Amino acid sequence: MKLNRAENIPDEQLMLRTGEGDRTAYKLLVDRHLRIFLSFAARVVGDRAEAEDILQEAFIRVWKNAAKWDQGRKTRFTTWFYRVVMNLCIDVKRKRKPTIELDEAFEVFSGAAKPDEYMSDKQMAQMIAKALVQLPERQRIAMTLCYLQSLGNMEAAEIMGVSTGAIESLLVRGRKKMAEILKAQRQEFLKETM
Amino acid sequence: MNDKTLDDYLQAYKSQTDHSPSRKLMVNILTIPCQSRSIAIQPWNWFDLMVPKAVGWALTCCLGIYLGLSSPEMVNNSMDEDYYMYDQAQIMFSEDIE
Repeated sequence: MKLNRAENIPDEQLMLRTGEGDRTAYKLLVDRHLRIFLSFAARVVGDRAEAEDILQEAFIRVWKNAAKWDQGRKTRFTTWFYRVVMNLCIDVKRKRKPTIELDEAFEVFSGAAKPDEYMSDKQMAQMIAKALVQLPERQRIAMTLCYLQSLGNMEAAEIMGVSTGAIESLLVRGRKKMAEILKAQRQEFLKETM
Repeated sequence: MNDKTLDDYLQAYKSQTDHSPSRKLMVNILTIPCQSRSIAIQPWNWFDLMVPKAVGWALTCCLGIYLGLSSPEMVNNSMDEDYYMYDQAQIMFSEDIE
C-alpha cells in the first residue's frame, strides 16, 4: 500500500486490507487509534497498566477478526472497536476486587494545598478520577464516552447498545452523582487546607 | 456544584489523562502479526492441534476392534462348526437308539 494517501483511506478499508494480511494497513490502524483508545481504557478502568494490557488484547482481536470483517455491514470500525475495548474494560473491572484503586498519578494530592478556585488542573483531575470510580459502571462509561472521548449521544448509544434516551438519562444521573461526590470531596479538601 | 464547574473539572481530567502510548506498548502491539504468524507456522503448534484428533481416532479404532471381536457373528471358526456337527450327530444317534 502506498503511504502517501494513507490518511484518506477509511478505517473499514484498512480493516479489510488487514484481513488480507497487509501489515501496513494494520500499522495505520494502530497509529490512528492507539492513543485515543488507550486514554478511553485508562479512564474507564482507572489504571494505566491495565489499560495497556487491554489495548494489547484489543489489537490482537483486530488482527484475528480482520479476515471476518464484512464491508456490507453498517457498523463503523471505531464503533466496533469501542465495543471491544469497553467489554474488555468491563471484564477487567469485574475480575478486580471491589476496592477503589487509582492510577498512581491520581493517588495523592501533590503540591501545596490551594483554595478551590486556584486548584490546579492536576488536583481537579485527581478529584474526577476518584469520583469516576465511584459511579455505577454504565454511568461511568456513558460519561467517559460523551464528555471525555467527545462522542455524540447517538454514537455512544450505538456503542453501549442502548437508545439515545437511555444515554441521556445515564448522563443526567451520572452528572448529578458526580457533582455530589465532587462537592463532598471539595469540602473535605477545603477543610484540610484551612 | 454547578454545570460549568463540573465541565471545568472534566476538561482538566481529560487533558491530564491524554497520554501518549509508551514505546514498549507500541512495539508489543505492532508485533502482534509477527507473533501470530510464528505461532501458526510452528510445528509444535500443529502437533498440539493434531493431538486431540489423533486421540479421538485411536479411541474410535479401539472401539471398532473391540466391537468387531466381541460380536457373536464374527466368532465362527471351524472348531465351533465341528462341535456343532458332533452334537447334532449325537442327538441323531440317541434318537435312533431310543
